[in-house]
This record gives sequence, C-alpha cells and structure tokens, in this order.
Amino acid sequence: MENGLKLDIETLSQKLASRELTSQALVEAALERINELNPRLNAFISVAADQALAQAKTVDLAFQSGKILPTLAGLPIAVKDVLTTKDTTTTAGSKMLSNYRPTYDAESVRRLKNQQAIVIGKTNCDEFAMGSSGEYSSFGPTRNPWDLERVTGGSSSGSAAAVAAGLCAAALGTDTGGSVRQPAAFTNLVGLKPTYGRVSRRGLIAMTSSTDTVGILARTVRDAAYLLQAIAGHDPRDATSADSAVPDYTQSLHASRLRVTLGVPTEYWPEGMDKEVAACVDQAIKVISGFGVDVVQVSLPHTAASLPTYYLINPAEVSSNLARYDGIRYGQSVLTSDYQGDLGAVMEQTRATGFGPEVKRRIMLGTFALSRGYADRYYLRAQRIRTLVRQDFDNAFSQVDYLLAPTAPDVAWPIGEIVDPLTMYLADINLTAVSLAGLPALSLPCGFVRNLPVGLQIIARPFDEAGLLGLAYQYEQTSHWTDRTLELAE
Amino acid sequence: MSLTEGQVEKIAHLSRLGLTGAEPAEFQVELDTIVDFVDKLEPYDSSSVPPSNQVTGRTNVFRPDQTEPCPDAADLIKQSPHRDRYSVPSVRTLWKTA
Repeated sequence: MENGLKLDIETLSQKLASRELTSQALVEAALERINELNPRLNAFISVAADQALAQAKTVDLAFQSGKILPTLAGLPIAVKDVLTTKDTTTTAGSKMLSNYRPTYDAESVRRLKNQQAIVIGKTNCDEFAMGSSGEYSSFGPTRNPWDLERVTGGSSSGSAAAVAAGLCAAALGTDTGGSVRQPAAFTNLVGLKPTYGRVSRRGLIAMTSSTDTVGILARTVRDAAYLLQAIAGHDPRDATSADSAVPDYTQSLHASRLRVTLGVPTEYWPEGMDKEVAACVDQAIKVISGFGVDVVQVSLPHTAASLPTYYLINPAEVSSNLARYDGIRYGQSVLTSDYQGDLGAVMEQTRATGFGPEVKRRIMLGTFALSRGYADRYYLRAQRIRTLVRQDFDNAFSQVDYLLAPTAPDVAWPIGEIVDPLTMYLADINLTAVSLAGLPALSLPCGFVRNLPVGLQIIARPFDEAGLLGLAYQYEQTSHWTDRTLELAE
Repeated sequence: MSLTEGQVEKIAHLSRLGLTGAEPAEFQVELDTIVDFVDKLEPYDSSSVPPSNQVTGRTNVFRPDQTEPCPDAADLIKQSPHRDRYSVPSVRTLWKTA
C-alpha cells in the first residue's frame, strides 16, 4: 500500500469503511515503512508489530460484518514513550526505565484504543521529556526527515519524525514547555497543545505536573481535531482534569465565523531571531489579515521573564517528581541480592547511572531552587512572576481573541550544534509562557526557509481549542503548506 | 549569585545523585551559568504579587475514600529490583550532612 499513510485520517477512515482498504494492509505498510526508515530516523524506541496486526484483524472483521466504527478505528497511531502502555515497555527515553512495563494504559492511550485506533509503537523523546531537540534521549537522537543531519526538535521528537515521514497516521506527544509545538514547527506538522486539564494526565510520566499536557502531532488541522476529540474530556482519576464540556471539534472546522480580533505580541520577535523565519511568519500573518479580521499589536511585557521563570518551576517540579526513581520500587536499580551498600548508596548509585546529564542538571537546579535559604529567592519568586505572565495573557485576551507568533525563532539546527544547556533552553523563548499560563496553542506550517519548515503559533483563551482549530483550518485551506510532503527514500 | 563546586556537591547529595570523576566540576560550570540566567528575575518587583502554583483554579478535588482490589499487584511486584519482592537496605548514611 504505497504512500497510504500520507492520506488524511478522514480519507483513510472512509477507505476502511468502504473496504477499499484493510486495516491489516495499512498496518503492514506502516510496519514496512518503519523497518525501512527507522534505522535512519530513530523515531521509534519500540514497535508493537504483533499486537498491532492482531488488532488490525479485529477491526477488519468488524468492518466486514458491516459494523460502523469510530473514525480512528484501524488507523496506526504512534505514542510518545512517556505515556504508559499496558504490558509494553515504556522508557520515557531514559535508561532508568529501559525495562519498565506499566500495568495500565495512560488515559489518553486508553481513549485511543477505545476508538479502536492501533498503537503501532512508542516514539523516541528527550529523556523524561527534558529537551528541545530530541538529542537528550538515552536511545540516541531522532533525525529530522526533512534533513537527516538536523534535529527534529523536542522533546516529542520521535512522534514528529514518525508522522512527518509517514510511518503512522498521527501521534500523541506531550507538551510541558513547547515539546509538541516546537517539533511540529521543525517538521511541517500541526502540533496541538491543549489547555492544561483538557486531556487527562493519568499515565503521563510526570515531569512538571503543573504544566504537563498530552498533545497531538498530525499532518493536517482536521487530523488533529479528530485526535483531540478522542482524548479530550474529564477523568476523575486525574485531580487536575477539567470537567467542562467537550465540543465537537471537527464541526468547528466548517464554521466561517471569522469575526475575531487577532493580536500580534511584539515580544515574540526576539532580538537575534532568524530574519527569514521572521519574514515567513510575517507573511503568514499578512495572509490571515486578508480574511477580513482585525489584527492589532499587543504587548506581553513579561515574555523575557517567562523563560527564567519556567526554568525554575520546571526543575523544581522535576526534582520532586523524579525522586520516585530510588532503586527500590521500579526501574533500573543497583540493588542485587548480594548488594552491600545501604539505602543512601542504592539511591545515589542508581540515580547516578540511570539518569543522563540533562536530567541530573534539572534535578540539581530544582533541588537548589527549593532548598532552605534559597526557596524564597528562586522558587517562590518564580511562582509570583508566573502570576504576572498569566496576567499578561489575561490583559491581551481582554482585547483580542487569538495571538499569532512564531513558534520558534529559527529552523531546525544541525545535530550536535547546540552543546551548551542554557543555549538549548533559549530555543524555548516563544513557548514556555503559554505553558506557565496553561493556555491552548497550536503550531501550524507556514512556509519554508532554506528548505526547512517554519511554524506559526496560534494561542487561544483556555478551552477554546475549537476556535483555535477553526482559525488554523482557515489558514491551512488558503496556504496549503500542510500539503507539502517530503521525499524520503521513495 | 555564583555556585561553588562544594555547593554543587551538597546539592547532589540532597538530590541523592552520586557524582563521579569530572562531574562536580562540569556541573558547577553549567549550573552556575543557569543560576546567572535565572537571576534575571531579580529586578522584577513581585513582592506584592500572589504566587501561582497551578492554573486550573480547582481546589479540594476529592473522591470517595473506598478501598478497591488491586488486580495487578503481581505484575507490579515484577517491576521491583528483585522481581519477586521489595527489599530495603539498612538506613545508615542516608541523613548524613554533606
């Protein structure tokens, strides 16, 4: 089934329902493509070939018996390896969990399976989702299908590479400080970060609990809408899950009610930004202005403060969340039957060998920011400035309905180019404020610079994913950037 | 402020991270640079601003306090270091002061 995975979800679903195509053929094509391309991309950490084929057969039998199945039924979907999957290894991109087999599916995964979507495999990512390039994985860097010598962006690197290269129909990622939006921008995909609480975090291996979200990487806006529909909604087993109603997201794509005001935050074109990327995003905003909407300049004055704020709150929560990897309960451990050391030694040695350098840096930075004598100066101040960052957005959204900005200040950089951890953090300049405020945002393909994809970021009010997708859809229908597919080992 | 190598070793101990070889010196340079960066928040006057530790506004989210059977207990124990039991070595130096 040549190139079938480049079709959109609705088309694939129709072909399955009309039995022009079988799920088995689709899954076999995906597995074949993974076999062929994964050695070069390093997008998948594990592939669930047998389970996927077995599920595909079940779906095909249901279609043959005339059953009407959900839109995602029979479609191969990839899942970032920080979301737990029952009885299949879930590593979080870390040596620490290289043999960890969860006993339950993440709620988002469970909901996908409820729709009879097929989890084809688990995708590579920066270790415990800490990174902006996909290079900090214990399983090696993911390579960008648009240029194999470049990063995919991170931390949902494998999900982005897998969708962009047509190894699956769509993928789940996670976005804590930009980890879905940035790789989407670098690989010409739609990357949706829902409102904090819109999708259950149950089974998302915790990194920064106050900003962790489950997000979506898809080739089109409509595909993203279908996935969000499947995974959104209240989960009583996640205390931070929102119990507000879930609208019909695909329905919102037909609405032509663009009587909205759009804001362009001046701070999101930072000094040192790539000029061609800036021009590319400016051009996209010009196209959107032509929809008859009002576009005004707005200011988010605490944008510069948002990055240091995020890089205090994130490590603080990381240091707390990752304390559970103690060599006693699960995951890698130095503890053997004849181990001679005491409890402190088990912890120190297990964590020394199980965690990579970036995880260690963040644990130590967070421990420092929370330690006696420094907590007020660092952690508490960051929490106070987080309030100011949120107020910036509240003020902006009292004047405008959506904000438009570049997703990233540059295109994907060569693998190995950024070696300094702080320089890596600076790549998140346009991403972390949205996470601190818990807002929904989407990165949308808006052009190419030096043959590499550029993303336009649209930011919305809490729980306005429908409007966000609607606006993105209007632009997508005009621009057709998402139609551009890459030629990789065809 | 700047971090010394001694402070990095103390933080590593508080974090239960055993550092080896050149790690203390390397982390000192990297963490010092990052602490310099987060010190950029100092000029912001935030003393009268309430802190945000979450964005949902939801508080006291409770569920009924009911015990439930745990059907996967055997599978959970398989994840333990010995695969069939939990064992905790003696606590001798855990609370040493660095």
